[in-house]
Amino acid sequence: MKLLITIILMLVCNIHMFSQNFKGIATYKYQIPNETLLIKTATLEFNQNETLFSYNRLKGTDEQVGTKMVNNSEKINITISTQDEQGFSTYRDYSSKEIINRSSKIGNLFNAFIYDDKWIEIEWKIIDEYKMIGKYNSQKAIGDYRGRTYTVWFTEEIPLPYGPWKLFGLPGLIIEAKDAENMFMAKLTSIKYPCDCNFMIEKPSAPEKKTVQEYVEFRENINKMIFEKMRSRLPREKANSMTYNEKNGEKRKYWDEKVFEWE
Amino acid sequence: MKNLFFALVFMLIGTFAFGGNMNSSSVEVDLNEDLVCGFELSWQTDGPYGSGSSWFDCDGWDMDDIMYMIEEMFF
Repeated sequence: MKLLITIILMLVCNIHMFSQNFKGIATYKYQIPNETLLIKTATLEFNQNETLFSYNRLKGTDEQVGTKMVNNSEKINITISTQDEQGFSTYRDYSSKEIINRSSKIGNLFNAFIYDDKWIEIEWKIIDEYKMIGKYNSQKAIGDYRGRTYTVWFTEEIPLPYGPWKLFGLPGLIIEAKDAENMFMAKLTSIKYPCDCNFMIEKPSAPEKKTVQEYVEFRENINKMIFEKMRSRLPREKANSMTYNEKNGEKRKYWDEKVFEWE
Repeated sequence: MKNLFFALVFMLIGTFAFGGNMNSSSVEVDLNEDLVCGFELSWQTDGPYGSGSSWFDCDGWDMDDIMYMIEEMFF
């Protein structure tokens, strides 16, 4: 009986230790496609079958900045903060093939929301080309995802099919990625794996939920909606003198995802 | 002598006419400056949502109203 209890205790300890050690956290320098250079510090937390890629988290590694205004005699420019508790994130559960994205709260204008996405396997072409990135021997791969072509470097020294943002599905962790237009970039800057980390990966949550189609519509119209919100706060005679500057020919030029399956 | 006199008169008239045109041009420049009079308010997020901008016509906007709206909306 004593032996049985000892064996059970050892098993429980082993399971606990294994689950603790099968956690990791990778930090990336992350450039988001944008009109102006936008570089973030993003983290990829992972365990046996889940990943959570996130940035713009309060208490995260990014500098915490609120909404800012620059005012001179001819122009006012406002940078609207999109930092909140969970930030922008992409969650994946590799066992159920579930993917949930989260968009942060946008200033005081829009609530944070989550949207389910389609699990899209990227058809990678693995190239017989290698280079050392840091201490990792890395191999090249090229793949297309929603309108952009990505060149990535992955390492089988960390044999996990994970990667930054929505890039995944190679025989090793993606440690560097960029797109053909040089608008998207992710570079691993540090990794703790295996790590005795205390974090729990949780599915993103938010006050609102959208479909992926609603998210695309929101993204297409967000700046016009900000304009309409501003206009609605002005007295009518003043509001009439306010016009929106339409941008011509720039539709989705700076989007990370430029084409969707249903289009 | 008579011909020389007429030539001088025509030259003087020509000089005045040309000077008059120069003055008209400068008035047009002032008018253009009036036409572009206004105020731009632009914004962007520190996330992936791009940017936008709007224009307030000269005679329509009031800085106090705009600052109030900005404070209320963004801060």
